[in-house]
Amino acid sequence: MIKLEHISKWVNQGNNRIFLLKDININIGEGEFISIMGPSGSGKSTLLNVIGMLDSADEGSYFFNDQPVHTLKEKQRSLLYKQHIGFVFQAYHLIDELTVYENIETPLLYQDTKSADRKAMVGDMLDRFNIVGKKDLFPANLSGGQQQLVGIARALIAKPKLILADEPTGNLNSKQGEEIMEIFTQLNKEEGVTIIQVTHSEKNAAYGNRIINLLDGRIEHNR
Amino acid sequence: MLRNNIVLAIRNITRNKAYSLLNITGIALGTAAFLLILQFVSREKSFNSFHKELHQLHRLVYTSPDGNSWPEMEPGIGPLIKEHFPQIQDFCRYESGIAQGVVKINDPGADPFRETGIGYADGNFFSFFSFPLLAGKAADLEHPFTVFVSNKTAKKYFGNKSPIGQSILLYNQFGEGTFRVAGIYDIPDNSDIQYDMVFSLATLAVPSYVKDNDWAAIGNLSSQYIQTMVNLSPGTDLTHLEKQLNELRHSKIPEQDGTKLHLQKMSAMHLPDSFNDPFPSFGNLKYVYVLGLVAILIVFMAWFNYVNLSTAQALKRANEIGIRKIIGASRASLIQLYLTEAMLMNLLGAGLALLLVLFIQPVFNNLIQQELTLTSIKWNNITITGIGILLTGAVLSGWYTAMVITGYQPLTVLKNKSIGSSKSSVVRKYLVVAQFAISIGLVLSTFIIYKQLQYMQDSALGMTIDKLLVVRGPSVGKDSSYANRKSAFITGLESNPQVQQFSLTGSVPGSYYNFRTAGFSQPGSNKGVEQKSFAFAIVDHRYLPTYSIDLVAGRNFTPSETSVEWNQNDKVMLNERAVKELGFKSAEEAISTRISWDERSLQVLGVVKNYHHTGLQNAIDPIIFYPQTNNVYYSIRLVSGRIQEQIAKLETLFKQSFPNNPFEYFFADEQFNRQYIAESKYGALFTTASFWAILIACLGLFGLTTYSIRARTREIGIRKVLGASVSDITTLLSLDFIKLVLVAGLIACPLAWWGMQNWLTNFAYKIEIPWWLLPFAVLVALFIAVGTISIQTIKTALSNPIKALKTD
Repeated sequence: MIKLEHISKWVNQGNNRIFLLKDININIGEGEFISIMGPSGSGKSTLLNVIGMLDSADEGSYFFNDQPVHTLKEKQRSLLYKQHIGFVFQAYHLIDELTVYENIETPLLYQDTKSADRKAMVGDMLDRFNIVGKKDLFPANLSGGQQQLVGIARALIAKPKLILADEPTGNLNSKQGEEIMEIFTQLNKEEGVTIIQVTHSEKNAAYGNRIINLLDGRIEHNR
Repeated sequence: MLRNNIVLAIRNITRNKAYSLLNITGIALGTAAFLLILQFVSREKSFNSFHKELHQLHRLVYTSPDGNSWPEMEPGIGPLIKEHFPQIQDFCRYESGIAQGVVKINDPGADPFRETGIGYADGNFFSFFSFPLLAGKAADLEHPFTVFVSNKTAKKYFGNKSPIGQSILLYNQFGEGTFRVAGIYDIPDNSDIQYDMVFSLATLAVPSYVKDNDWAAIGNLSSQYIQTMVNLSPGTDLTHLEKQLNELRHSKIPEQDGTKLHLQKMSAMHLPDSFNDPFPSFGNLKYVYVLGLVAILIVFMAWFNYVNLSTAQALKRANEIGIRKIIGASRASLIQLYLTEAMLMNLLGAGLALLLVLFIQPVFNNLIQQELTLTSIKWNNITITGIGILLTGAVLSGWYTAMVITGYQPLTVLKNKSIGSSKSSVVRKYLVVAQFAISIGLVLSTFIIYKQLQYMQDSALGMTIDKLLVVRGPSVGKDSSYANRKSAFITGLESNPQVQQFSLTGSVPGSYYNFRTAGFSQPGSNKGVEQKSFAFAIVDHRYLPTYSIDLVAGRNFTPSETSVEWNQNDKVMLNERAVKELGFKSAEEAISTRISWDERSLQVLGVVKNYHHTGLQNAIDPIIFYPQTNNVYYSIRLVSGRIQEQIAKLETLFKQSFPNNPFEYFFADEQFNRQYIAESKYGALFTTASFWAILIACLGLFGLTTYSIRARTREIGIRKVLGASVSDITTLLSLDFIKLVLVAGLIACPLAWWGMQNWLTNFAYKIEIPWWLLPFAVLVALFIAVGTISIQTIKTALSNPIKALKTD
């Protein structure tokens, strides 16, 4: 599904070139659950952003479902990720002005889904995550765990094949964290959604079936 | 999607109350000013448009080689040209100047009124023009001694009684006439012809009425006194017809003085099509343009505000945009979202503007001396353009803001990188500079207008006009006993201890001259001096002492010289300017030489020191003083104190001598200063516009400071921890804006200076713009700006730094 070949990314500081990513080669198949680990500044988030097409590499090739992403134009790339990828963030990034219901519904609006279908799909999500009773609340009125549930529901509503999660439990307590991990596992097992998460915690990383360790922009381990 | 966008926009507007309020108020202030001025401009443009055949109607106008133009024709011209040219379908003659006088209804107890807004007109007046006739038959005006009255005038004279068939007495230069009321009409307020009464011109064909006023003969081709409008067949070639008209005129009126006949489109009679239009017009094109410019500048300031405040807010919105982009929003859909919000904001602003307009309408009307309402906005090109500007501005400002906000890359935003230093913050600086440049320009212009006004009002006039009461002379009752009654009045004045001096004249300073005429020369004068027009003032021997005007050579008139018959008199005085104009080397030379006035020879008795007979806008004219104890104005110098009592005594005396005449008076100085009404109007207008502009600019500045302080909270906290004082912080925060105001000053001052120099060329006597006024105007703007900023900066500087740092 995802094939990275010799991916490098750098910034220039004076005469020095500082590598954020250096010669990354990864193959990820459909249905995998991958955890990316590594110390701060090792390039985890950068790698995730490159995979999510929010950022582009300076060198190397990236194939997504055999499409050469590195040759696509900005517009085509964003079309591609909007179709196939759902994002979950550490800071949730819900829209403050929208209710829970509306936050989940928004991706469907941008895909011109019919009103009746939207209602059914959002209803399913609310049911699935047990947040029906919160649907008219605004993010500010929810706990962190509840906000992240909404964030995941929003990422899932458009039925993406791939979920990218950047430290999804980073702002949560361990019990809430476990809940989220359970949900990811379930999604991966039962619905075959590919998941790539960035995490600090060995415990959370263990939920995945493969761990990629990064250090100074290079892959250290690829278990 | 639209419904969703609207719901979101409403939530955003209500959630950020302070920001929305600043924004909406700014838009409302700008739009309100724009709408008020649109009322005026639109109405000016709508003048005379109610005439059904407006585009066929043309007024005849004369121009002379020296650049003068006037619409008064010989009364014979109309019939003459209609007879010769089939393109001229019809003509109508009308004139107010010759009709003015005192009007009274035929009832012994009724009050007489002096009427200036009345005229004689041809019998086809009501079919030629499109004034709505409320009663009577239009054709009745063909008959002599017939009058039609406007419905307003009908109420004034007859109350609720029907005026039809009643009699009206008119006393003017033709003596007394009795007219039968045959119709009532309405005059739209956007008509340049505003006659309260229309008397039948056919009356001037009755010999017993015109008596020895030969000049008024209805078919004559020698005296120019009546306006003539023609109705041309559609498609007439104006240039060709003008040429033919001039040829015909010169074949009938042989004297070749260079006067040319022109056709002025009636549609350009109120506002000419361009500044180069040489014909007399009723409206003031410059004033319309200046007001239009002010309106556009102010409404632009409001949009600049919107753009500034919204893009400054972008920091807050950027996060949301980033998320939306990641979860699938296209840029187009985001632009729609923000454009919806912008439109809603503008709509609310426009609503508030309408309320504001209702509220400030009286103040504005007082300012421009017109009765305007929202209904004055007529559906014409100007209105369509104006509304087009409003819509375009609202959409463009919203569009630009939407483009800036939605332009951020999602990742930049989510990484919380600073976006404050992007292109939009540079644009914000430009816009603040533009706003303050406009404000400073307006403030500087206001100062200069008032300086000039003050200069004109305070300048020495060369005469004394305070405590000088001017009474309008009588028009009614000029029968055989009149001379005796007049003498009695004069004796009454002489024996009144409260009357220090008095004078009976045909013209007083501040009320123009009796007339202007050419044909003067002296043996030593240059060729062509006969073409030059001299002002004519008819005065008695008491004029110079009453007005304290000095003589530089020769002597004043004697009492007996002022009672000589008009055509027998051969003595005049000149002012210094006339002496120079005639080519005399000195005043002494003038009083020892006879001058010619066409074929008459006149002796120059004295030379009068130059004084300002008209306002300081005009250079001092060459004036011929002609001796006569005239009846138009009685100038009376009163003693100090108890003015009302003195006036009451004079009224009793006047009513005794001249029964049935209205007692009307004015103070000479007030009347003189009335010449500066246009300048006062400009002054008041610019004061208001400056105030308005500064208000909008300050709203924006207030919002921007709030934003920039929020963006720098951490920096301020750190600085305070490091030991910065309150004044250090305040200076730091204000300095950026102060720089912008100074740059605005550098741009605005030269522009305003140039514009006002241009305006000052209208005045023969004008101020030098003092150099210090320029920095002073900038200082005023700076003072106001710093005041606005300080509200925020001082608060921030005083706050506890730990709070600022903890939020990080």
